Amino acid sequence: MKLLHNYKIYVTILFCIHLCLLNPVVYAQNVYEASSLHNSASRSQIVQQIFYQRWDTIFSNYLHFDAYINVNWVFNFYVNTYNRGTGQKEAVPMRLVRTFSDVAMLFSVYTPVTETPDETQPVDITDVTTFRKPWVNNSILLGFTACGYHYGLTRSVEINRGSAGSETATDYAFSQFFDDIVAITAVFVPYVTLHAGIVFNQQIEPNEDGTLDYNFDPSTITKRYFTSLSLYNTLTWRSTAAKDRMESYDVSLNITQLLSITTSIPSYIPQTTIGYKQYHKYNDEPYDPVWVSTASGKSNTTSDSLKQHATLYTYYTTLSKNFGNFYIAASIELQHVDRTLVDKRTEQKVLLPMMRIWWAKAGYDLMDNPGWDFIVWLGVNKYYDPAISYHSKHSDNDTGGWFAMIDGTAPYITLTIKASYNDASELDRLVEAVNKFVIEASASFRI
Amino acid sequence: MKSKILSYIFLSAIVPHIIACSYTADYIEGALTNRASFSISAHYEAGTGVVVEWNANPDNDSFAGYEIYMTEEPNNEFADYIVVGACYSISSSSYFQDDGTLDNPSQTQFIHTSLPSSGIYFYRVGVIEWDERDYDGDGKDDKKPSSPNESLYESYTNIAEISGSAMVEIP
Repeated sequence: MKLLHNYKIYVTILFCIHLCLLNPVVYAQNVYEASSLHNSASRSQIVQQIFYQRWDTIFSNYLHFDAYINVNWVFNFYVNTYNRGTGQKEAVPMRLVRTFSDVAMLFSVYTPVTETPDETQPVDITDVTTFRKPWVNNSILLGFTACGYHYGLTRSVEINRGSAGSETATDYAFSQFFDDIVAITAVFVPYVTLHAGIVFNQQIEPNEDGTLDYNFDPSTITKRYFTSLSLYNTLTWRSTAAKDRMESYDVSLNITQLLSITTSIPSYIPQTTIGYKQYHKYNDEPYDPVWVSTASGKSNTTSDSLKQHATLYTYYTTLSKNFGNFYIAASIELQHVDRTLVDKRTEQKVLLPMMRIWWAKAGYDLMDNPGWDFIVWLGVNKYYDPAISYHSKHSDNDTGGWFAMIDGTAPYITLTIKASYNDASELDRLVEAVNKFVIEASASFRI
Repeated sequence: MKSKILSYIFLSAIVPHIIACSYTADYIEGALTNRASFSISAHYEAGTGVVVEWNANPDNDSFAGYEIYMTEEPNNEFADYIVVGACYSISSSSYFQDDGTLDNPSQTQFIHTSLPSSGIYFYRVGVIEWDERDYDGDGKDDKKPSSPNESLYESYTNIAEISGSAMVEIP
């Protein structure tokens, strides 16, 4: 009964946050024609974000092997779809499915002999501190990663099997996107961490019957190249290049880590990171909500040679701190763009506010053992994007959101379940997810 | 020693890519949500009915039968489906046919003769498998019952694979 009572309290709190954060919106969904899923540059950013998150996990937990899978569902996408029965288009509810899998390995190529080897502590497989230890300074590590992200809409089909019950099946609908990374990692502990890899972007059209023929056709695959260089885990440079141009780069500085090189940091100082990103975000593509510079003479069929590009510059800072079992973190991201943006619908100039994103989250670890966590997280945020009103009934382009997450960790496995509504990290990945519930589950096995 | 290390590193670079690619993650999600995984053909033949043909590769160890489904209303691709063919009598629909050959894994055709009124209909084929459970009471899970019957079929089967849709115009 006590558990049930607590559950009701959590649900009530979530519902209140939900009501407080939402702008007065109409819950009817918009119908989509074009989708920013077609933006392979943006998708490449997303698959890299997860790649870097996995390596942060590997480094912070001293892992040698990490296998991870993530399934993310966004419900209630209404998409104008041709009905072969009626011969007409109609708004059909679909589900956006995003799946990610990753396998990474890290080997010690060279480990210097230490003068005082610590071999006295017996290994206890339930206590990670006895078998996962920081790498020795001046060690050389070599890592390999392969990961892939699939995105696509699916449509549910109800099957009535008579007295054998009912089941649901799904069909692929519209273009399916497959983005893969192959990367190599080299570490000279603790001075240099280097990642270099290739992102393969592939788009496959499903068959008319809802099935999909996987085919590896090099002629349809676009490639991007990314690198990341981190010095002393303090100054990090990340960049992505397409065939003929640099698409994005991100420079960040971990202030706390930097100060700790020369001085001891008081315990009350939070981990602080500042950073700068630039990204060719607006490119006069059909899925963009804005035209770059001017609307004059442009349409969704404008040839590539006439398309203009605008770069979004963002400046961010992130703070995190834990007080015993209690974790808090917050971040803000400011923005400006180098060209005039024009709303495609009104042809009015779009004025970007300085604040692009803010978020705050808090978590409480219900367990208190090294390597064992059961953290309940709640987070709130505000997010701006000129496509918000384009893909929803919002009258303006910013929206508040929330997420709730439980994050379980054991020495060899992790399990995470997350529910969110207008969560900034989700909208940053896919702005069409505005005003939709997102459910995500992920699990990992690690050694 | 050097070549051993190099081959180890080479394998380490290759194996992850086989295991972890975008197809793998999608395959798992597809299995969880019964994603349409094979194509079928269907056409109307005057005097015969609707001929549905498929080429599936069911798992013989747990195979329970094929089922044929049809949209429950005409001229609507997105309508729900009802079962119109199975190896047991699991539906009271006037369009349903009990066809004993559908419990044969090598079966590749079904002729639907109990047809609805004219219109455009969509067909699918489901590969049905037995739930893994203790059918004979020996304390061990079995892949299928030794003596299958309609009651067990109704209670302990599920769709293992389902086809995409095939459009047929019934005159």
